[in-house]
Amino acid sequence: MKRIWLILLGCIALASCDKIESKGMYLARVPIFETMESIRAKANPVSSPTAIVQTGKIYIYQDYLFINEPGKGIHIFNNVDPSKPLAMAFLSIPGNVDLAVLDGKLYADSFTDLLTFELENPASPKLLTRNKDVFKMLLQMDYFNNTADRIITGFRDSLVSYSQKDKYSPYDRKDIMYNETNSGAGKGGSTARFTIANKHLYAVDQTTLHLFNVQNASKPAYVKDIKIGPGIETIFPFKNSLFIGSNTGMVIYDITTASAPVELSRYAHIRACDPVVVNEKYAFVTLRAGVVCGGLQNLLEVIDIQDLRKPMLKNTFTLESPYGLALADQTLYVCDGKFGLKSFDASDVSQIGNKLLETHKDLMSLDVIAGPKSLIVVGEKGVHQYDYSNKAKLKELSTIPVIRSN
Amino acid sequence: MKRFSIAILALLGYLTVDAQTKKYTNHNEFSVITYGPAFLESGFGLHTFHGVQLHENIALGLNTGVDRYPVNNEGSKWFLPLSAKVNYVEFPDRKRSFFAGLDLGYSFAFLNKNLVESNLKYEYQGGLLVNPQLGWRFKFKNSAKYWSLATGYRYQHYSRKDTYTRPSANLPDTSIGYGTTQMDKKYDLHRFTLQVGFGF
Repeated sequence: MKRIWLILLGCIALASCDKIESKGMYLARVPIFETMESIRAKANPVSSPTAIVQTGKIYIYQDYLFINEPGKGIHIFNNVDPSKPLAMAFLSIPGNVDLAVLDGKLYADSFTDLLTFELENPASPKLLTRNKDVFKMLLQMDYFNNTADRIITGFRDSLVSYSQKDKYSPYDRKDIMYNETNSGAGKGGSTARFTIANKHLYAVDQTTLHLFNVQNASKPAYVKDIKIGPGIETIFPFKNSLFIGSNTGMVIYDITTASAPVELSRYAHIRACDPVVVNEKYAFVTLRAGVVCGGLQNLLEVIDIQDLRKPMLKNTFTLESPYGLALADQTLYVCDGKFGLKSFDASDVSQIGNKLLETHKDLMSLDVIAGPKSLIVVGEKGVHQYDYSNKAKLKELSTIPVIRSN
Repeated sequence: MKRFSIAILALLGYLTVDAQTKKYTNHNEFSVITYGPAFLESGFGLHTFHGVQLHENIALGLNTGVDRYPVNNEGSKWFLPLSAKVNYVEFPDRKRSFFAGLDLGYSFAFLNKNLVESNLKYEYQGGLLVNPQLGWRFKFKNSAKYWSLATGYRYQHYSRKDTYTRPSANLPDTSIGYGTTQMDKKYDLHRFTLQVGFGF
């Protein structure tokens, strides 16, 4: 019998696992990396106006309209007459996604750097300062970079080979994996959001608030970073408060001392994309469901912020696919994605969702600004401007077209 | 595969010729094919051995049957093994005897469906089979018939080739139009076997 047991144990020792080797090829968008040094060396900001291929953040300053082309730069328009915006220049800034203007100085990000331009002649902005490596963590297409040596400046389609070795045994559920993939790819987008309040520039990325003192407008001085948490998307200043929207809620900061924001409260909501606008009493938040944002509901939430330390949900209304929103007096404009631009009477916040004033169904809209001369709407086909002197009846003034390359 | 076919045909020829002069022997077994003593995720095999006694202790012949292996959450895979097998019996005349066997052959994978979807075609190919075994055989009273209990190690190789007529959109970039174009997977299954048999 002893022999039997020895035999049995010997067999068990030999057996008990599967080895699986996979070798494959896949098509992927492989990032092209560059160093910040080479990106800076190639910087040649101003060129003549070019067609807009893709729209990003829009910004108005005096009679000028700035339209960001994500990752490429900024289109500058003379918008004295919103019915005839005139293209003035294209400011080529690699890696740019946001901008802000204060006292004739334009601030724009370029991957890890903050650039300051003199806007004395908006047709030819002049680079004044480059704050190097101030945005240390970038989320670029799912790649987290914290070094200026690996900046993604583009993608190329590549056939990638990979091989992988796995071991499997039901007695050891930890699969051992040796991944020999020679490259990888992902999806997503970099985000940085700028705003200016109390002579300070606040820039948020996915997780962090970056703070700059711009009292000397030509020379922003980095103050500090404040960790907020994951999923940061929007930043909205109102009086001495800063409302930061993330995909899990809204964080309110007191910026009475602009260089030292103090967190007042955190309002948590379901997981969704989350732009915010605010008035004296209420914050209006749109929540969008989807793959990128998570969550399942498309909502407009009205949050009572009369006590900034205790924001409270007041009302919720169902929307279809809300993106940006803007508040003009008692009218709330909501970009409802492919369901159009909608305007609501916001005089009674308990009834906003039931008081639809107008729907522009054909206007696939993503973001909106209520400017002094016009309502500016970023849509799929271009940047549209409307006369909104009659809040309930928009009148189209002009469209700056988006000309897609394919 | 070519060499294997030639070897099996040669063995078959030899057995056919030798069966005239040498004693025919048969051993049929049911195997539990598993990863270890707790019989987690077990498969099974049914095999039949047909051979001739080269010597009173040694038999040589062909072993065939069917095997089913559960594989790494990919469902069960079926094989038709065909192997040359040599059996050694320590004391053929005793009521109880230790015995050892060694299978060396090829398992065919055609029992698994080669799937063709709109975008994906995958096909299986069989591979080398090695199955040494050790055990005891117990003769029935006043008979040449016996039953056996054995344990062993079973190595089975097979492969699967996936070909996409257009890139799949499932790996690793989900942008439409990107993904896997082809994949070759090679499986080396190392299993423990427990066999109960009957022969004469």
